[in-house]
Amino acid sequence: MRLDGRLVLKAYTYIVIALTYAPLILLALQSVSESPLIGVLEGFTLKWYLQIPGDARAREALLNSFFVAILSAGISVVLAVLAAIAYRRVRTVTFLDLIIYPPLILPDIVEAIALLIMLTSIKAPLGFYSVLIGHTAFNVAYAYIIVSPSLKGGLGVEEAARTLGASPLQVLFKITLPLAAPGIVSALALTFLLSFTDFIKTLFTTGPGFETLPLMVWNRARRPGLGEYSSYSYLASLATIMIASSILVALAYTIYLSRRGGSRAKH
Amino acid sequence: MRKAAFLAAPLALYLAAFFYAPLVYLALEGARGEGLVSAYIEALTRPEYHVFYTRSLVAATLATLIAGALAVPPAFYAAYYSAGKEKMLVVVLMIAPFWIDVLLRALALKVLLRLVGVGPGFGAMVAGLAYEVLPLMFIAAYAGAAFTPKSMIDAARTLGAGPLQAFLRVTLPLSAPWLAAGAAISFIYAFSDYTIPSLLGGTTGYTVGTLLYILVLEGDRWGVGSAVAIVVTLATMAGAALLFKRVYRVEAGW
Repeated sequence: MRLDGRLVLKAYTYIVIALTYAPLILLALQSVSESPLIGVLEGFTLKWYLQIPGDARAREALLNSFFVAILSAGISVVLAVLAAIAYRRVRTVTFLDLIIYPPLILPDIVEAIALLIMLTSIKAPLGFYSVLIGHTAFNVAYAYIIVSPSLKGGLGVEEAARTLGASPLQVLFKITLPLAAPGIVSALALTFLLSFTDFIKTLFTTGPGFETLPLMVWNRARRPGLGEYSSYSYLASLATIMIASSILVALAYTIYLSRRGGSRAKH
Repeated sequence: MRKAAFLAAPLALYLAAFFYAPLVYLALEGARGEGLVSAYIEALTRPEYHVFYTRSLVAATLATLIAGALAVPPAFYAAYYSAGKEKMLVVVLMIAPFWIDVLLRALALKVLLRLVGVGPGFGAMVAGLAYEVLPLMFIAAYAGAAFTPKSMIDAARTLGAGPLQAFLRVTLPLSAPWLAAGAAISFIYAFSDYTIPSLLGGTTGYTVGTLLYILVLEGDRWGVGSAVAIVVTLATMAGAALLFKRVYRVEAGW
């Protein structure tokens, strides 16, 4: 019997995909399990999720995460859109392209330690602002990468609008930004989530008394117990919410990207 | 052009102030107090640290190899043997976990490992690191495959090469630089990671990330900590330079 190479490759591919998603699905099952113990998946309950509102430390951490994430997303997307508008007609590799990639590639632990050392040297307080500054340093780079292609698309339409008598501001608000809207929304959602779920950069740049949701989950997950808010199933409920939001946004963005890539290839 | 500089300035200044300036502080930190040279000498020669380096080296090498073995076949499948919706599905599903923070993926993997009877330890840590860098390896392998035209493989097949031969002698050598760059970056992430060792490493979780955590957050040995971090940075830059040189050469038309 001859083995079909393509079929073998296909089976292997789907096994790898199953392996990738199995842990995420199991964590979701853990979060609805009756048992507080890790690896014991039995029954179905929403009690762990219903515990979240009563957990004062989680409420505070959630608010901290939320405010850092929303500000970081807003700041980084505004900076990215401005810079992307500046370079939208340039087709060669720009200075900005050179400085934008290192923050994406350098391991976050190095970035975080460097920022910690600098902020301590200049005696800046550690806490909300240091975390916000650190998150925004990687978020501006992601935001620029996501936003900049979507601002390069509408040049022809703008030309037409200008010929037909539209003012520069009219062109900006009626053509350029609406055409770039999917990219801008993607950038906002992704940078929000990157900040909201960030762990390493926060761990190294936060100060006493400022805890985000991932930090709190990590602190408790190192020594899970049977207490009300320290069981693995309870932590799984918090983690599942964060994973589900990340997956939804990431899927929406990658599908949008591949659609765009596909339609461009057809022209 | 002046308008361009004006609009791009806030972003460039932000990166200069909060990404590049900190790196300068990091590089100079060893010079304060302990002396730059002695910080590097201590970072490289102190025997207690060697346990951390060796363990990270072995764990990161294994994790990169495993991630490569898991990521390369799906990348080739997506690039050459699937089309339309299926291709998109494979690519999207393989890349999406990249956007989930490693902390969350580690918590998820912990449940699976417990179910198959693997507790925290070296094996769990290697599995975790491989799980962490899998999307990166896929991106590199897929990019490499996408830049190797299918027609080259078809030509090899027409000239009498079997599928395996065509793969080994055409596809693999042509995407090798991409795989090397992907492997270099994956290795550095796995080598310096702290999240996975802290949650899955158990008593074997003494890796370079843990060393950095101890030196910087617990021990206040910033000079040595920054020396270790600088070495990681330089290694990253070398790996990344390899990748980008390749990307720009391809964009410029080979």
